[in-house]
Amino acid sequence: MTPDDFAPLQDRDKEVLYVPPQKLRERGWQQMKHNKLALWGLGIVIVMTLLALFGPLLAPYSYADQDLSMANAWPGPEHWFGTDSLGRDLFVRVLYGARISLSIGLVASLINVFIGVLYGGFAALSGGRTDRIMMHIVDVLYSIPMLLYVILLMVVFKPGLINIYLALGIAYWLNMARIVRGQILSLRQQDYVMAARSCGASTWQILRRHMIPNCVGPIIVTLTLSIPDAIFTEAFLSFIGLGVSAPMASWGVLASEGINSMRSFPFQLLFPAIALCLTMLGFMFLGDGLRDALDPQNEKEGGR
Amino acid sequence: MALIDVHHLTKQFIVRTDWLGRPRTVLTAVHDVSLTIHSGETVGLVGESGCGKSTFARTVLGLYKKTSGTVLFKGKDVENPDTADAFHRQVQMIFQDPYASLDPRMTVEDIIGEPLRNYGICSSPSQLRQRVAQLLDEVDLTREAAQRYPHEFSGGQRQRVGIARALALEPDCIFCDEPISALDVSVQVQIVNMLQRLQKERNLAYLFIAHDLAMVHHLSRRIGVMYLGRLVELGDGDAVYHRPLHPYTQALIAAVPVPDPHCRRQVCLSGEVPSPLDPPAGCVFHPRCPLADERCRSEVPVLRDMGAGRMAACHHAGKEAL
Amino acid sequence: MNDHLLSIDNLSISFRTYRGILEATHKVSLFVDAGETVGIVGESGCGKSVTAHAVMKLLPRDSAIYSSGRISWDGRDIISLDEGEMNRLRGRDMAMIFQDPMTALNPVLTIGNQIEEGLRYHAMSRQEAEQKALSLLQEVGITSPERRLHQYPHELSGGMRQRCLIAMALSCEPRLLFADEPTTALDVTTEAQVLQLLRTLQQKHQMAVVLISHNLGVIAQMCRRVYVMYAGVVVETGRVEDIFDHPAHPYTKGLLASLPDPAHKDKVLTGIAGQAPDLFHMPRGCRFYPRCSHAMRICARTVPPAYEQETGHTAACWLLCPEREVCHGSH
Repeated sequence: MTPDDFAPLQDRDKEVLYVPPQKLRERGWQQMKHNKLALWGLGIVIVMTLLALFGPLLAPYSYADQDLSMANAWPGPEHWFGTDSLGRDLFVRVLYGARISLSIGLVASLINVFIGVLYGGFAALSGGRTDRIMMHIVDVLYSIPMLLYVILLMVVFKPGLINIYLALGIAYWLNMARIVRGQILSLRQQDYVMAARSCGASTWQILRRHMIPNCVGPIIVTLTLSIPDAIFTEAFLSFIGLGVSAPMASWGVLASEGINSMRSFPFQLLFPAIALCLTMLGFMFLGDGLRDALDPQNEKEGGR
Repeated sequence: MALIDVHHLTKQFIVRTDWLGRPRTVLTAVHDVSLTIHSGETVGLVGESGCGKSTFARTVLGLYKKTSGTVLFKGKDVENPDTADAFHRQVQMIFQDPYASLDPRMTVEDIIGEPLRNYGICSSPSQLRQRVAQLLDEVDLTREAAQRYPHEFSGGQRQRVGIARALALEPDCIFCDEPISALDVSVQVQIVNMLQRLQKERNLAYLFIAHDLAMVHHLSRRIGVMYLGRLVELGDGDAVYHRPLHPYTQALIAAVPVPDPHCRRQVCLSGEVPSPLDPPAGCVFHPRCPLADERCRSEVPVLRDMGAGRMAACHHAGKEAL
Repeated sequence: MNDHLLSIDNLSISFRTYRGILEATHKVSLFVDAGETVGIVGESGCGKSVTAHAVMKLLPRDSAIYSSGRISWDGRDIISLDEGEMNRLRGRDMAMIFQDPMTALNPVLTIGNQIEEGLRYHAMSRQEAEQKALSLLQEVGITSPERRLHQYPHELSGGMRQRCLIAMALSCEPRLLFADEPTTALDVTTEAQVLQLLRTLQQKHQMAVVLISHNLGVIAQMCRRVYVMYAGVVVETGRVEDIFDHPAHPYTKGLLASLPDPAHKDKVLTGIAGQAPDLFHMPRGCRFYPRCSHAMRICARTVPPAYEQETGHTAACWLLCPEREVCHGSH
């Protein structure tokens, strides 16, 4: 050791000011990256969406082309998924079904969000008696089996794509309303909302700056998880004949057609069922992953 | 003239309602508390959790709606719309939890700039940026901090962001609600020293709420002690700390573990704080008080003047309890 | 060396995280003798709890790594024990109480159930267990214990819960009790009660207590010997009087200077500048040097060894290096 060692330290490292920079969104992405299931879910959803959008355009058949000479053909190079009893190519019909099913899932869920956010938000913000009455209404509606409700609506509305959108949208917003209300009520208790009020923010400013951005996460998660619900309900409706009408084909219609010839041509049921299952799983995994990634609890744990 | 004058403030929360929404169980969090804050002074408010000290601060600021009582700002009632505006601008607040009091989805610039935007103080974005940079300097944070999110900072740094936000409107008074209890000891000192420096530079008044008695004593000119929603003692900081009049204050000070191994004490108060939903009759402290007698069980002691600017709410104020 | 009840030598604990390997403690050495109260003091993230959890083997098994060092209990190596042997050791030989008594108690079981569970584990009949539970609750100063036995944790106050937790920890008369921030969540008056209780029980049962706290007051009031930890290393250790009367390490000095002195109100507190380093970016030399006002060149380069001040009082700081005096003389 030399005297030099014990000389005072002159040029020190600047105070380490930050935990290494990591953006909020990157953090969420980091979480997602480590969640294999969520990535698979995302992959399935993307592939399904692409297939639904572009698949039917590239295919040599259309969903309604009948070729009775090829009726009930088994899967082969000509028809990948085989054909149905009218000789329509099943692969194209499944792809086309994806269009309808996904669009129903999406549109119905968006209607849910629209009604749910407005209703839940209004209830939470007005508080007091209005809130209590609005939530009692939701409780009462909750006690009605939703499927029954949708079936009744469909009977009144007559089957058809637009009507399915409406029926599902009108029926399934309850959950969303509850979640939005709960979120806003808990946000209202947050210190940062208190802080905003104590430095003079108006109700509108608090809503815009703090409430809405912090509600987006749970809304997206609920949305993602409600899509498979809607798809499945639509499949069920089509299956019992209350869904889209022929020659349009949703997965439910295909499955219902396939079940008649399940014994002799099982692939007619199998392929739409697989497509339905995969999509449902995809959305479920994605939703779960998003929930973990967007949870503000995770953002909190900083140092260790 | 006093900066803030609180008279007989009471805050009740409705805990349970019946199915028609009528109150059924009522919790009195703050019961008839009067307190004056002069400009440039620090008033400390101590008490155990649930004694209503935070609720008091929040109710004075109007974050909770008060049940009864008046708040005067520079002699004028804050219910008057003109005074209300000045009051909300001139009295700011710092919160206990530096994690919860900053919106995780906003950058530091947006957080500090929020009060400026609310009052339309900086007209152009560049002006705002400049003002935020100034405020960051003020609390010893680097200017790069402006573009970062709260979770990138440590607890002490987040608390500095909270202080910068409170300073943005050039207030006369800041209510500090347990600003250091969530921080490490060495960081607490940095924040405390900063608060003292800012007070000197800007003639700020503080209402400093904490449960750490030693720190409150270090900072405050006057100290108020709360128990179960009541103010039980109020007076000059040194006097309250060294010669407490109320038996609860005596017990509270005796219970603090002293960082000196040569001075080991074994005093403690028996029992626990009763539920505020069902406070004892008479003096609320009587079930735990070593001095309690028949009178304490039936008659509520009022906060009375004990001379030399000191007040205590006790029939036996001044007697040694321990 | 091996007559200590518990001795830890150069223990390093790491964790696998998604940002990489994180070293929570680095070459921590400490010992505990039978019947004594030892304090571990340090700020959040300094590794004090990790050390205690490592001894109890309560660290998450999928992410924690015992990267070096040994822990010996009564001469037996703990790290190599399997889960069954460890279970026998926990409870009977050592027990732990936690900061937050609410999370350490099962909310759906009554207090009686939870205390008796541990007792029945060690072969006791139902009646015996209930009797014992009752007497334990009495011992920890819980009023009307018969009623409490049938209550659930949420029906009790924080102080009561901590007492129940202590009763559970005591149920098998351990020889060592880890108290991990036992009073941090409590109010001052309750804190004083719980500390008093711990002191009484410790004397009565002659058990060793390792008290982990960030509160220097609690440490001064309770302990015989103290370890001061900073950023995963032990920076100073000694008898409690040594630490509080003649602190040797600048960090310990800084901690003590952070406490307000009621007698000199107007004195400005010095404290410590800066903040604890991120565990992923540890300074190369002394871990404290970026915040140390006495930092020297060597501090940034080389880890300081522990220098003995008096018997049993050591501090890891280059300022205490005997050669420094020599060098300064020649300078």
